[in-house]
Formats: sequence, C-alpha cells, structure tokens
Amino acid sequence: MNFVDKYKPKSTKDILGQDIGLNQLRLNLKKPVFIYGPPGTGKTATIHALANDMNYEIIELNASDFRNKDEIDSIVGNSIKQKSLFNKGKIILVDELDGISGKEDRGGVQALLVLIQESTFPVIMVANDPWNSRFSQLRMKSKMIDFKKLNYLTIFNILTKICKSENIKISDKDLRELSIKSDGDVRAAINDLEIVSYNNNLEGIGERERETSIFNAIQLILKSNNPKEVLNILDRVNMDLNDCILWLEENIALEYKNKHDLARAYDILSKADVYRGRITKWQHWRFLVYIYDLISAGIAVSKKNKYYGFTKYRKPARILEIWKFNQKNKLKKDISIKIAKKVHTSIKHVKKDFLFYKRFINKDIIKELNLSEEEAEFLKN
Amino acid sequence: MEKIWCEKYRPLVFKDIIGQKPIVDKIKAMVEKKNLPHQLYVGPAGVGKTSLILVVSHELYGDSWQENILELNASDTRGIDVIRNEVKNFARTKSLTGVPKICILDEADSLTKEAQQALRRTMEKFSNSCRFCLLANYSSKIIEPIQSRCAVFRFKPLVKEEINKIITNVADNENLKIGNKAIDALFEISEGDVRKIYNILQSCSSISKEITNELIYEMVSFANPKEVKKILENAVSGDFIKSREKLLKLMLEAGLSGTDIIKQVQREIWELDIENDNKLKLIEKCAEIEFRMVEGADEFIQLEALLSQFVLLGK
Repeated sequence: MNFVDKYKPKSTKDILGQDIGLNQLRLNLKKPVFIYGPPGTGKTATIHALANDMNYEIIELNASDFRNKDEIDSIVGNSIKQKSLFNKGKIILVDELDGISGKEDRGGVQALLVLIQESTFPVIMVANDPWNSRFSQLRMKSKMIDFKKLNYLTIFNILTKICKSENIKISDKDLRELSIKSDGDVRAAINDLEIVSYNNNLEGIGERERETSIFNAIQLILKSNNPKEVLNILDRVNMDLNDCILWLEENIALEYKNKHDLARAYDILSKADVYRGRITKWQHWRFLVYIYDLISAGIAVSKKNKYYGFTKYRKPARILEIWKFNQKNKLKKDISIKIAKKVHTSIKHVKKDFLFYKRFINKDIIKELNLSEEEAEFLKN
Repeated sequence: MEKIWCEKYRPLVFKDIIGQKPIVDKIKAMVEKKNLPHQLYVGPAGVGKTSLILVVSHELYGDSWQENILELNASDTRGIDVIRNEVKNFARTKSLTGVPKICILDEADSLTKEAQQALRRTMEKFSNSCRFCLLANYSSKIIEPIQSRCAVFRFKPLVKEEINKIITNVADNENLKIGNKAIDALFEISEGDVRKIYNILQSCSSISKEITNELIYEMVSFANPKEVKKILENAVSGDFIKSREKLLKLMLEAGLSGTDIIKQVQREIWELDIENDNKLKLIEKCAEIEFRMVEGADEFIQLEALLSQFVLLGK
C-alpha cells in the first residue's frame, strides 16, 4: 500500500490545516455543498473522514457518470430516497466535477441540478475550479466551501509524522524543501516523500506542472515583480485567452493603486489587445506568444511598487452587465429594427439617434411602423 | 397623417434629388438605357446615397420595385452567412421585368473581409440577373477586387445652399417658423447629414412649431448627454473604477461605439481643469488609442487604457 492510501485520514481528527473548511462542511450538511480548491488540499479525504465519523455510507459518483438523468438513476437509483439496509445515512459524493465536459456531457449539469433538488441525503460536489460558467446554477443553489492550499508548515508536520512511523531518516532541511515544493498539495508531498524514502535523495524529483485557478494566476501576476515567476502562469489556467484578458482587465484597477502603475498596466493590456485583433484579422497565430508575455510578465513588471495585503479580486463584470442591459433593452432593439427598415438605415444608426425618434414617434407613426402595444408603451417612458 | 419626415421627404424621381448633380446625371443616363453596372457609392452619412439608389429602383421597376431589390444593411448582418445564403438566393433568379435586379448593400464597409471575398464571386457569377449597389462611408475598407468590379461614385457633403433648400422645403410643408440662426445651427450640428436634420427638426416640432437655435441645441444636448465630461472628470480626479463603470453604462444606454466615445473625448480634453501640457499629452494618447482601436479586438479595453492616462495626467 502506498503512503497516500496508508496515511489517509480515518477520522476528522486526523485532518490537519483545513479547520475552517471542515467546520463549514459540518454546519452545512443539510443543503447541497460545493467544495472547491486546488488538488491535494484534502477535499475528498475530509468528506470520507467525516462520513466515517458519522457512520454514513458514501455513494460516489464520478463526473463521467453524469451524462443524463437516466444514467444517474441507474447508479444512484432509488437509494437516494430510502435509507440503506443497515439503516445507515448516506452522503452522495460527486467528485471531479471539472471532468464534466461542456459539449459532450450536455445535460450532465442539468441532471445534477435535478439530483440536488430531489435527494433526501446530503449531496457534496467537489471541483478544482468552480468558476466555470457552466457551474453557475450549481453555485447559486449550493453552499460554496473553499479549501485553501495547505500551509507548508502543516505539510511539514504531516511529513514528519509519516517519517517517524515509517522510520525514514531524512533531514529537516530536505523535508522542509519537499513541503515548500509541493505548493500546498499534501498528496504530492507524500508521494514525493515515498520516492525520496527509497534512496534518501531529493535529486531527480520533478516539478509538477500545476493547473491553477484564475484567482491564483491573477494574484501572482498582480503581486509579483519577477517576470520569470509569472511568465507561464496563464498556461496553467484552464480558461481561454479572452476570458483571462477580461479577468485582468477587471482586476488590475483593484490592485494597482499607484496611477503610474495603473496607466502602464492598461497600456500593456491595450497593446496585447491590438495583437489579438491582428490575429483575428490575419490569422497570424504566432502573435499569441507575445500576447501571453504581455499580459503575464508585462503586466507584472509594469508596476514599480509592491502591493502587500489582501485584495479581493472580482469576476469580470462587463460581460454580465452587457447581457443584463440587452435583456432590459430588448424592446428598444425591436423598435429600432422596425424603424431601421422603414428609414433605410442600420439598426445601429437608429439606436444612436433613438432619443430623437422616441420624441416624435406619435400614434400615426406607431401605426405606420406596426409597433406592438408593449413597444408603444416602452416609448412613453 | 403624421409620418417619419426623413421618409416622407425622400425623393422619388431624379429631379427631386438635391445635390450630387454630376452623379445623378450619369446614373440617370444609365437608367434610361436600362444598363446599370455594379456600383459603389462612397460618401458620408445622409448625403443621398440610399435615396439615389431607391430612385433608380422606382424608375426601373415602377410599382414592382420592392420585389426587385434586396436591401441589406451590412452593419447589422455583416457575416459571411448572409452573403452566402440570402444574397446568393436573391441574385441567382432573374427578374420578370427583364431588367437585372438590384442588391443594395448599405454600410458595405463594415462587411468582414471574408464576406467581401465571398461577395466577389457572387457578383461575377450572377451579374446577368443581379447588379450590386454597395454603399459605404469609406472606400478604403472595401477590398480592391470589389472596387475594380464597380463603377465608383463619390458623393460630396451637401453645401449650405442645398441644405437651406431642404430645410425651407420642410418648413413650408410643415408650417414651421425657422430663422437663419436656427438654420446655421442645424447645418453645424448635423455636419451635413440630411437624415439627422429631418430627425432634429421633427423632434423640435413635437415641442414647438417655432424652431429657434436654442430649441435645437437643447434637443441635441438631450440626445447626447454630457456624460463623457463627467466620466473624464472622474478619471482626472483619480477614480478610475467609477469612471469606467460610468463609461460602460453610457456606451450601453446611448448605444455608442468606442469611436463615438473617443470623438467626444478628444473634444472634451480642452475643457478639462488640468495643465495645458498634459492636455497635449492626452490628445496624443487619444490619437494612439483611436489607432489601436481600429487594429485591436476589444474597444472597451482600449478606452480603459485611455482612461488610465487621464488618471495619470490628472490632478
């Protein structure tokens, strides 16, 4: 048995460094819970340990099972509605939610929404990156619990315990290095420790390419002054370029309070956008490397100050604002389409001069344009 | 019964068209021979491009003009799909009148390059059954192969006398009282865009039949809120986040494009309460950003970069 399985926490007492997450989970078991955080922070382990403590049975669903409602029923079946043979409570655990693909598993998220509504047992969902838009409805209906990266000292303590019980001789210095290198991922640290234990030598342990959340990437770019540190960070974010740019666009202003830094950073972003335009115009994809350099290292070194302390980053608001506005102004658009046809011009042009039209459109013209009652009402306000 | 004036006063025959005499004469001759080439009309908004081609349609097809023309506005449907489907379907069948049909592509300069490429083939293939008339503000945005297939006509902005004639004509018909000062104001504000003149006049007349220049200015400022100034003032005083929020709101609510905004920004720079040297720097930045906007992908990011310069060079 490898170390990771052998030292898996049996009870919540064994869980280290996730006190807040664990408590929140305990308090919110009555409703659907959505746990998220980077790999190796103890999300799944905590749930298993908790179920163990409470003597609950876990029904585990892998994301790939979630293609449609029928398939869920075939796995979970009626068990979500009745207690098990031994009268045990149940927890339904949906692990690796990131694995639901947007296109092929269409219906998966819908099926999950039905499940969390119908289930009489707690449903716990787990994902690394919950900010993907396809999870937005799940986010709204669930209690979100954040499992943060573990502090390296916590990992150091865990490793020390394992060394003791396995009788591994390794210097504190090496152990500390392993803990730091693991970057908050306790599973990675334990795996590395196991390899090191064969020959007691740290050499040859490879770095892991880690996928990281957009929050972490933004934080690194906006806080760091070291271009090399941030250069490839956006490659590790599971998000396309346009979205990355929107996130940066939203958050630069929240972090860079010095106006010189602010102006320089937006200038870099604007240049990156120019190359983005050139890619679409000429299909010259080579420019992509420059865009990534500009928006990672470029934005990082455009600041001459250091910004300490916590900044609350936000999701990009612009796209949502535009969408909300369009919903609200659908009538204006419908009216503009009718006017544009009548006066032989573009809808865009009519919208620009909408206030003129609005002023002089009277009963006769409403009739001429064939506006609906609702549209006519809209013009009155 | 009240109608929309810019349609009510649209000319129906060649002799009612005001201005653009040399072009009108040439087109008229071609229409008489019932032999129209593909055409490209280039010129600013509201100088009679659409009016001319609509007159052509009336003359060629009489009452059945509507069946024989397809009018598309490229800025609303600028994708390649429209060219591939709608335009092709229209162009491939012959007209019952024996005269080729006309496909009018308004604001053709906002068609994507790919759509223009697709159009080029269609124009050639179906030129027996359909002639194209492309209307554009700038010919530089029309790809060369298309320009070479068209007879190009460059429309000039209407001169003062022509605008006067138009305004007096409306005033007589609608019983408006309008003085010279008001006419001057209209000429200046509209920048020669006749549709805009009709719209402003009709809005004013919904308030008073006596059109003064004060009324005109009030009407125009009402339609173009001075929000841009406030946005810049926010930026200059250092509140970037607030100014960008307001900017987004303005662009959405007034339906303004990035270019519309930057035009107003450039005008407002000189009114700001900052050092003159910095105003000059901002003008330069404004030019740079306007250039980048043409090349770039996201206008709003470009405007944010500009706003951050106002923060930098502010108080």
